[in-house]
Amino acid sequence: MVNFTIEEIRALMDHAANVRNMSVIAHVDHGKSTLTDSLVQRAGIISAARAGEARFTDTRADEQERGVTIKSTAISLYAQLNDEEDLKDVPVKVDKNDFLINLIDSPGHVDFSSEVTAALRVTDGALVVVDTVEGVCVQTETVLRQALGERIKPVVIINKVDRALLELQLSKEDLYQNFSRVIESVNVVIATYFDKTLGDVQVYPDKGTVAFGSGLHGWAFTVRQFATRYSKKFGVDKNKMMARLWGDNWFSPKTKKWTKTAPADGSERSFNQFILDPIFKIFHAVMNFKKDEIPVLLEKLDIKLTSDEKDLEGKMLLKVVMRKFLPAADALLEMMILHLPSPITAQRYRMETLYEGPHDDEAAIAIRDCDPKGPLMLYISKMVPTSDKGRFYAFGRVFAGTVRSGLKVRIQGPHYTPGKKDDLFIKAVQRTILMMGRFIEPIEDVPAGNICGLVGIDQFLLKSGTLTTSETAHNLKVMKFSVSPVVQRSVEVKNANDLPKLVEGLKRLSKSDPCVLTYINESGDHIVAGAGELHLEICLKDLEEDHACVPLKISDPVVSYRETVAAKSSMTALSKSPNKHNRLYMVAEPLDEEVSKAIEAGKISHRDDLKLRARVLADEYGWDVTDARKIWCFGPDTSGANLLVDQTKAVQYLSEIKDSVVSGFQWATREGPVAEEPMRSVRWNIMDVTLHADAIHRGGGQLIPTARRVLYAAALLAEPSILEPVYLVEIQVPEQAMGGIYGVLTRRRGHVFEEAQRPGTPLYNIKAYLPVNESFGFVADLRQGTGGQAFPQSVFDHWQHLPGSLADKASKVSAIVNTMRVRKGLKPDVPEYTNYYDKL
Amino acid sequence: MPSKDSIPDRTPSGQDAPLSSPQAAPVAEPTGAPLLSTSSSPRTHPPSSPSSHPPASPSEPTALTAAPVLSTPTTFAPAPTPSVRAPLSSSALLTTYSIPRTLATLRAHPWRRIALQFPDIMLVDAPAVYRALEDGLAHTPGPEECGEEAFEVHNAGAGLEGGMGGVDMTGKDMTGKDITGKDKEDEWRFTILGDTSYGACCVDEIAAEHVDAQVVLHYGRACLSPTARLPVVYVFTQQELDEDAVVRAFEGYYPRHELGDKNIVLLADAPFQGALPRLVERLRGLGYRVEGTELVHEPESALPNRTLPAEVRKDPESLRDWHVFHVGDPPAALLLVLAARVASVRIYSPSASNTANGAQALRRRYGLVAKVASAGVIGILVGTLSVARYLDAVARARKAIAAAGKKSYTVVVGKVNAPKLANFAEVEAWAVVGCWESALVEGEGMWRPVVTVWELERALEGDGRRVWGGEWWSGFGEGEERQEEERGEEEERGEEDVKVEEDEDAPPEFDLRTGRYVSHARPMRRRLGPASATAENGSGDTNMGLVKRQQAGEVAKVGGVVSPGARFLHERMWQGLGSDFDEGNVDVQGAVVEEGRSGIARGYQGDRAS
Repeated sequence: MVNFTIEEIRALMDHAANVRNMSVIAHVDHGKSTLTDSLVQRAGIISAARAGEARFTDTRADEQERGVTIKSTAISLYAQLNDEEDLKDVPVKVDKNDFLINLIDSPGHVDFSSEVTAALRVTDGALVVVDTVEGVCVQTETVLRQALGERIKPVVIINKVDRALLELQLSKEDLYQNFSRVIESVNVVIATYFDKTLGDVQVYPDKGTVAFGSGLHGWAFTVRQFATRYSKKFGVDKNKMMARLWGDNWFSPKTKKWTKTAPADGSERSFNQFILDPIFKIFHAVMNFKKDEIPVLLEKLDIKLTSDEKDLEGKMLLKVVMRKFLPAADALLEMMILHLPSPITAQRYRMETLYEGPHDDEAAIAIRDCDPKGPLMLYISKMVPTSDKGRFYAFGRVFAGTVRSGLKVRIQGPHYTPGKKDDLFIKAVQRTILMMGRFIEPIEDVPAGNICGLVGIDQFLLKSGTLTTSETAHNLKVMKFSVSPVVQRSVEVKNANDLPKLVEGLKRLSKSDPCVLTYINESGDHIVAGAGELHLEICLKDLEEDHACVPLKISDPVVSYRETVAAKSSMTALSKSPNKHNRLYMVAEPLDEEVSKAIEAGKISHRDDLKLRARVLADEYGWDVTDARKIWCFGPDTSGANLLVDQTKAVQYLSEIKDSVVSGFQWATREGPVAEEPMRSVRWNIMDVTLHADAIHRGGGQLIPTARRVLYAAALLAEPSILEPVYLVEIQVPEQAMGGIYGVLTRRRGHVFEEAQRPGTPLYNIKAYLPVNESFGFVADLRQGTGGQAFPQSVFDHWQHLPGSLADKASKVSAIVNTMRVRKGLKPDVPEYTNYYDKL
Repeated sequence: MPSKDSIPDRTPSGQDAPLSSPQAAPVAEPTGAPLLSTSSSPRTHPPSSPSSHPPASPSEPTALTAAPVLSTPTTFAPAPTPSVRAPLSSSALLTTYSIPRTLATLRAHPWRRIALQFPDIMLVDAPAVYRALEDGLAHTPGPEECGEEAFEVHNAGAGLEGGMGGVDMTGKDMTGKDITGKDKEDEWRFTILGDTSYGACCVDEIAAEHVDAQVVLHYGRACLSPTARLPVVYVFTQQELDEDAVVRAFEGYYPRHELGDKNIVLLADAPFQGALPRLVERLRGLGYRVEGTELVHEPESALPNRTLPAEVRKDPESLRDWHVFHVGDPPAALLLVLAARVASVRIYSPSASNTANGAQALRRRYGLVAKVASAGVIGILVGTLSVARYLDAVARARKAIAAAGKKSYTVVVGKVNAPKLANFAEVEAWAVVGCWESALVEGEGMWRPVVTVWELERALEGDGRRVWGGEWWSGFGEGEERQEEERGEEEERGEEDVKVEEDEDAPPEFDLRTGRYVSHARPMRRRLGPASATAENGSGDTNMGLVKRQQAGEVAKVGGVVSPGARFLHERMWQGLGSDFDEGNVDVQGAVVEEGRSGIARGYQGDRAS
């Protein structure tokens, strides 16, 4: 029975203070979807009995089969606080005890973390799920960093406490220590990415921002909940009680005194005594089948069982009892409503990180105030496939204004620049809908602060974009993903006549995933590029079965490389135009890795104001201010991490040839000289230019090819090199299996840079760098090497130079370049710089 | 240059020879100066004087000894042209260029004004061939020629069979010229045509008409595309072939134990065609199932310009199962055609190891086609003025481009090279209308993709119907395709009517090459929208005395029509003088205005004075 209606939800949407947009994020297998079930069950969508097993938000068949979330799924829930009194604790003023929770369950596997990014963008708060036993893992850290980068406020639930009790048989004090260690490591991550505007968002159990529980069994609690119980019982102030129930606080039953150090009488820490003790007692009684103790306990804790439930035994009984004692939904809802911000609160500080334009225009102000009457500002963060093949719902968040069916909107793609016509379309929204897990519900309109789906605009946006009604509005910032599509496979149709279907399938695939890249490369192969092997596997399966529906031939995975330089050009490169009347002199040098990363992260971009960008480059990256102001362009695609800097003095007609040189630069950086791969992290300086006095002799035909030649010559003179992507691999493994890991990693050019024992467990946490090229089959190899005891998580981390020099024909890099060139149908040898260099 | 003695002997370094090397080809002349050295028989024509040349630079004693002075300093030394191979010895010349047979052919026909067309690599032998022909015609036929003559005359109609020379009589009737005219009694007059306007494989009819030639002797390999105006004698030239090496290479490619029931068809480059029957015999003797081919005038054949094996003639589909062994380096276009039509192509290359991989090259072409599909502005490059029906092909391409909502420009640049094309920066892709061999422009350094008309048609087909890999053709598309195309247009129009409502934008295109949406792939389909209304208002305000500057974001238009060219200019950083004037930087002192140079670029007044 669904215990709320669309009308109720729609009514709640108007009260933005009563709305909470939140995503559930965590490391893989820490129990996000299972926990989400408890909330869905509370909303009456699935039965209590199935909660924890149904995994309602895993809507795809393969998600259910593999037990891993692949796509993020949104669901809108209606909630009430149990205790009207609690309303006072809500930080914003609310006038009624009805809340709308827009919840997005996200995948945990690193390969799908682009889905997490898309989810975070449209939410204001995050429920971070951490496994008691495994603690903070690499993906926990990644998603937390992403959340904080988007100014998303986190709350934490420590999940799988049942495992700590049943499998590890921890004592109360051990469990407490375990909890505090986990919380500490979460707080370390939060502190690392401290954002002044967002303020201190570290989590504290005694403030109610940490919950403990078991998603599988459907129970959870916060310290606040116990504090409320005990404050009534003892007649103390709730807040005082909360502070005393966590940390170094002891209560001596004999003296009835609180102390800050452990009293001599051996009494337990208050947390253990008041909170863990009843739980331990229930576990003890139920799991040891102490039939006589159970009813006593239940009565004491005021838990009433039905007669059917009374007949249950063991774990089943435990589940029922715990769920009645401490329902997970209560703890979670309380935490979300009290501690996660409403859109009104959140958009006030998120506006400046969200909006690209000036912070005082009408769009910016409407976003800041979450104004449903202002101009529409809606960010589409992802596309959700519909049952109608090839069509998608555009899923996004209304940041300002109100979106309704039939509204004519401006659709601004990621490459839209105000004032230009590129990537701008005008189209009416056909329908607005509400996303409810695997179902959708039509809704008439959606005001600011809410999440919704739109029908009829999917053809205009590939993956994401901004919808607005204001003609002057800039874009909402394009999302930056923590993963890059560094692994690629080429696909072919088995039957040539199926090609149109494959092409159509590639288009759809590209839409359906925020990260995947599909294109045809220079050699005419259809490429699908993804974040990792699993990601690609899922994408290709979707392509073959859902999008293209034709049999495909799929090549082995290959890595996408980047070309770069390792030193400054050994001499100034010179190229003459075909008519010999124009000369370009350039020097190539490596760009600092920090600058490249800043460009890739969008901190420095071609859209920035020239002077501000120069200031940032000078202050933070040690650039010369004059140089920084004379950056001609970024490339490839006008935004990549290569720079062209004008260092000439008093060259006549220089501005006239700028367009031609920039065109040549885009061309050269898109297909580098070594293997036609894109270039990265190179800075070229134009040293001097000689031009013919007649405009006709210095046209594009003379300069575009020449610019490319001189860029190539300069790069080839500067120790050209190849960058390969490297994964950061985190492996959790028991001590005895560690030897196997080292063996596997060494064979694959990986190296371990951190090894830490997880306190209180025999498990070790190993962090290593592993070239992506060597990672194919790594998981299987590792499983074999460790007897199935190690589970790696790999996420793209950085680019590194391939070992060896291109001059050395026997080196690794030469071998890789040769295979690449042959695959592309080029001559196997890298061209000499003299092919592009002209003598004076 | 009145006498034959004045024809320079081209030395390997040949710097001072007036024959221009391909490197020094004029940059932007569509049908530019195709005559390198026109020579005539002494009795009929007086020597031409230097004064017949325009007085380019009076300071020079003779007009032709130096290039006209541009603004290049006089001390400027051009880069030395790479040395060409040494000319052939006279005996080698006779066989390589089939001189006796050519003479026999010439005697058998009434032609008197004859144009000799050589490809660039053979130009070095051109004077010698010229002399040999002239000498040969001056003397009475020798015994060896007599033998040839019988053979030649006998085979004049289908002269290709000998693989040495033949007469294409097809164009003869169309010329309308009286080839048995007044020159009949006159001496033969030869002209060497150098620097062909388009491809060396095509007959340069325009250049030949400049010298009023009655027939063209075309040397070297030819695409054998039908010509429109002149009769042509194709002399394919002959080259030595190391047959043992060919057989060894063949056995290396097709080991006997792996042979199975493979059918292999042998193709040879025209200079090696003579050796082919012997090769076929030898290989059959070794137990291979091989078929030879013969030259035919049929570029559209499944094996271009070659006969098909009997089995394939019966069942055209079965060509797919045949393997091709090609003697000599095939031109890129032939390789692609074969790669698309047969099971595999193996190449015996007499000069060096040939690593050309047809299937891979074909895939690269597909990459280019994908690029063209998302281009909004397409240039049609006219790469021939002689291949029959080229104007139809240009018109068809224009129509197809317009139907796809793209903008087309038609451009003639003569021989295609990267700088010429890059001068048209607003053109995003090029399609070449040319003969089936020269229409395939491949080469490093092309800024924008260059495809053939056939490929253009595939690109315009739309992603929904494009099929690739089964066929490839570089010539003009033919009837069937046209029908298909028209059908496609109708379909697309139908789609459009449904989708695009009033004052809403058409959806963008998915650019297959980059995997992104692009909104400029069909610029001409773009609605003008509300922006046009504001522009009209703007023009209504002209009484204010100032032309309102086009607002950013408006669709650029010229005369009410969307103009991608204007839009391109709009997006350039530099849009002409003054556009780079920075108002925030006015304190910089401008330079004093001084008088510039006058005259034309070929030689300014100042240059002359110096």
